[in-house]
Amino acid sequence: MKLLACHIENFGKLSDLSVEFSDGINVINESNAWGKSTLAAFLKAMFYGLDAKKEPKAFDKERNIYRPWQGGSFGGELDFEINGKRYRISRSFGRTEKSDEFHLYDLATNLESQDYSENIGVELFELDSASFKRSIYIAQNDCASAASDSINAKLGNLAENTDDINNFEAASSRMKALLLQLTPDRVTGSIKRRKGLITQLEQEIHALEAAQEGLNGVEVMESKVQERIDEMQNIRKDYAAALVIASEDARRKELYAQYDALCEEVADREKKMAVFQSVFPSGIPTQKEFEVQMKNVRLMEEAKAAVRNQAFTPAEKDTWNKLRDMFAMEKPTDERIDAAIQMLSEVDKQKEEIARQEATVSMYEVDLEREAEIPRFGSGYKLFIYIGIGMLLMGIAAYAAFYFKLLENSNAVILTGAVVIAVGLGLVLCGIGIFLRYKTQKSKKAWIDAAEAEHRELEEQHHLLSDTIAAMKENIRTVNAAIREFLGNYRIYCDVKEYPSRLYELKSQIREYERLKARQNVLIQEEESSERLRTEIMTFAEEYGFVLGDDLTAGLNTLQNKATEYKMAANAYQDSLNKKENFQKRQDKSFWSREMRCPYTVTELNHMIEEADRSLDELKTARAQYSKQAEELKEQLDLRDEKAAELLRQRNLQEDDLRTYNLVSAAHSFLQKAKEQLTARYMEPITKGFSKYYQMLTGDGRGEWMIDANINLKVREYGELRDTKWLSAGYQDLTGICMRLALVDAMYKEEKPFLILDDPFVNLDQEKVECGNRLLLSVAEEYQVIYFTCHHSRSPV
Amino acid sequence: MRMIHCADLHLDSKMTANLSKDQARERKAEILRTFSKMVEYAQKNNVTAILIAGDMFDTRNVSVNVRNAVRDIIWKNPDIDFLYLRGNHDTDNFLCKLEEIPDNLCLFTNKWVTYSYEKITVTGIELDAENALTAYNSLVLDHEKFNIVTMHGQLAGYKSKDNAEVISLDDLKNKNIDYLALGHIHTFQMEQLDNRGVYCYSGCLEGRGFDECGPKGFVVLDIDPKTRTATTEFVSIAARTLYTIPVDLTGIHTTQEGAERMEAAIAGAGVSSKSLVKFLLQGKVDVECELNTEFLEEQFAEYFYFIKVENQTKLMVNYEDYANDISLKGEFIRLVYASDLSEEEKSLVIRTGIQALQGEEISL
Repeated sequence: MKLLACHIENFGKLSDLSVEFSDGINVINESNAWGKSTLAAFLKAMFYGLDAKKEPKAFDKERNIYRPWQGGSFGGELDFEINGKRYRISRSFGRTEKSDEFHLYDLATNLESQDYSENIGVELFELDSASFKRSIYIAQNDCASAASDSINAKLGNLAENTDDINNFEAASSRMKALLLQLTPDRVTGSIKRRKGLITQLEQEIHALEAAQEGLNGVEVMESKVQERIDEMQNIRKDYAAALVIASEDARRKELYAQYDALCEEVADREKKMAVFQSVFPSGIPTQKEFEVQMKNVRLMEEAKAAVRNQAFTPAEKDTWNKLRDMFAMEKPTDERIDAAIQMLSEVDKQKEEIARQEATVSMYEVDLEREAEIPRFGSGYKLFIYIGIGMLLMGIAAYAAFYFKLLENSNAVILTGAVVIAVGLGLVLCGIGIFLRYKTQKSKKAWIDAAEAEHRELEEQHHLLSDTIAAMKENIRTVNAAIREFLGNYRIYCDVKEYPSRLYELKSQIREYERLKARQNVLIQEEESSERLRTEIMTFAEEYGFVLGDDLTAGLNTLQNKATEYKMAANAYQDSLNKKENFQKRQDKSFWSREMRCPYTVTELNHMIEEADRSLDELKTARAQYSKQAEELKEQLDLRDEKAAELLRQRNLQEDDLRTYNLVSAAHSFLQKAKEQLTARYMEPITKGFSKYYQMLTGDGRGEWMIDANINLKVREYGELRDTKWLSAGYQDLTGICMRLALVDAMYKEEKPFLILDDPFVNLDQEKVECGNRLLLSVAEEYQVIYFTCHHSRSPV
Repeated sequence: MRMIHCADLHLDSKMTANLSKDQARERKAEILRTFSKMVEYAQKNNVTAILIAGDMFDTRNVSVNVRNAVRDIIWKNPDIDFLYLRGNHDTDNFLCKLEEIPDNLCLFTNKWVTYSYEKITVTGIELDAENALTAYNSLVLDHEKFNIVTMHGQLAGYKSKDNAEVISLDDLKNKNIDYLALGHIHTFQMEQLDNRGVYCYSGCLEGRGFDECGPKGFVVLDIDPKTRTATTEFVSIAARTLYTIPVDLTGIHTTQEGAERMEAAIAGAGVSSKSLVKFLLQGKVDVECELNTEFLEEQFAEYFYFIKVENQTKLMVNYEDYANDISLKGEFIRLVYASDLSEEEKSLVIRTGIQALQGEEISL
């Protein structure tokens, strides 16, 4: 098969590009970024279309990568020849695979051909798109790059060190490692380990399953114990109810005892009361009566005491007798005595008045007999007159002297003044003296008139007083006579002088008489009262059949005590009757039936309840133990559930791991088998082809190389087969191209394809480039080669 | 009168299935806190009674702190009745540890027990093997009252798990039930029971696993006893919500493309960062598609409280593509294709081989 020409409408950066292809080598010498890879991709796309999937490590899908940069129709045409027939592939690409269009034309007729379908690539080469690309395309190698493994890297999966057969060992190791990690046959495998864990969990769960049985048993036991507790609690409740009845019985019994005691008490007290009833046949004095009589006793005693206290002493008795005789006839009143005393007092006063009047009379007589003496009146006025005259004289003398010029040297004015003053003064003083003399004479005359009037009055009074004195003396005699008579009535005879004292004594005697008389009256009264009370008390006692004896108080007390005892007995009897009555009232009907309703006593029932409580405690303890046991078993069941969940999880994991293990195991097995088949199918043709090209390249036919089962080339160097990575980069590239060409030989057994080489010798030195070029020229005899380069030095033609 | 119907609290659940130890501890506390929040809601909204239709606890032995917390919540809310019907997960471990049963904790037994609130009755029975068949015939309800019946179990016709008893809806029809409050199913569900009433699974308060996705909470019934009618409202209260997000990866070739599909799936889905999310990778991917679920889990780990990526994609192998592939891979695929493995096994074996050849970690 060979390419004839192509026209690129738009594909990636290429647009409206037409290329003619010839047999042998077609060199396209263009600079970098011209679009050599795009042209190669276009050629592949014409046969295979665009890949729907994104290639590993590609940055996007082909459709997106090669969508025309400038827009426009996406696609082109490719003319090729096969088996002597020429065809034209026309493809246009839409946004999706569905909108792609494919046409195949027979160039001989220009009619659409049905010789091949749109899968023309596969139909022609029996290779898929990827295999085609890997095999015929030695992709672009950057001319600037010096990477030693770049050629090898572009030789396709079979020969390149990427992700296919050369990665088999790594893939196999990875799967083995995973299988080892999972293996059910070794303890290092998770499946084996988990199997142990699952077994352990199953055993643990099995062991814990017993807890369910145990729990069931414990719950049954707990339930039984609970039933017994309920039963025992019911029994205890019955006992408690019986205890209430028994307590009631006991209480009633106690009440019966109380009632019987009350009855006995009533009888006993009635008996005692009957004894006292014989003591008081006429009845019992009341308390009030006793109180009255006791009061009488007290009053009687008080009367007696009063009699004793008020009794006269012998002296008082003598006095009493004397005074009683003295005043037997009449007892003077105090008023009379006081009147007599008053009269005596008046007499005394009259006597004193008489004496004084008599003295006055005597004085009047003396005064009447004495010459009246004129008192001396003042003579001071004479001095004023004398001095006044003297001053006048002196003034006159002075004037005379001046007048007679006796005093010539004297100042006339002064002298005149002095004369005037002296005369003036003399005149004033004389005037005063005259006035004073007048006044004195007038006073003297008044005094003499008064003295004469007084004398006359004295005479009149003298006569009057003399009469009065005579009258008073008469009165005194009368009074004394009356008092003497008064005192004589009470056998009192004494001198006039003793009258007052005797009157006072009489008054005292009257007081004493009255006092003694009052005492005498009290005595009589108390004696009478005492006797009356005594009679009354005796009568009272006799009325109730008692004789009190002399000691009324003791008798009365005895009587009262007996009455009190009787009353107490009666009260006690009444109390007991009341108590009995009240007791009877308090009791309900049931009380009067003396039948006991509980066969057990309270003590017996208490004992039975204690027993029941003890049993209940034991049962509750047992229940608590069962409860605790059940709790522990429930914890174990919770643990069982947890372990069951864990077991389920582990089983799921185990299932997953087993599935993974089986799948990985199968995958490993298939991969191993695939590798064996692949190498078996291609090993010999590749070896043969490599030998041919290696010899063509090196001229070395000794076979100092070997291709291993992984189609890895090893070359003998210094006596040892070494991996090509130990070779120089240029040598690696050359051997890689040989391998690639050998591979193409092996793969394309029928129709040989064209080869696209994208500047494969960029890493080689000139010598090696020439070797390569020679190799290519040889290859071009068999294959159509499209050779891209960016430098003419590497062009083989 | 207002009443709350809740169920399947599963307090004290270990929560260790998916979560780390710290997360499990945190979620355990959150579940208890959510219960407390529900009671606070009841207190604020004058709710008379909270009906717990089974599975208040998760384990036989309830831990002391949870037991005390629940007891205190009940004691501190004496004006709210807690009608507690025990489910298949509940044991008497909680009740028997109480020194005394609070007055407001109302229990049910294996015989019908009724609590009345004026003209509203709440009747319940704890089903067991003995009464499971006989319970229905002994249920008699006054047609003049608003009758709530509560039970815990799986509806007949569905597979029962965890030894839950089966509830026969047919046997509960035409028995004057106005609201059948059920527990056991962890997702809210309300359907017509008969001409008169509805049946309702309130679901759990907090989702615990990815079989309990979506909003979780309780149902509030506002009942008018005069008209014998009630309005119901589902109140979502869960601290965190679980989501299972399916992602179709058909046609992708790389993990990054898968990540982009996942990004697209959560974009605009309104999933809170507090959520627990499981990505369910679905669709058909090429056998050579490189898909690393661990990488995806790492990439999305910071988006949510918890993330899990489950790969359920089917492998797609176009054997014709490899028919003319002259390579070890082509040979390998052709060999596998020719084997008698099942299609699924073939695709998995091929994926394994390709992953190995490409130096990728083998993951199936």
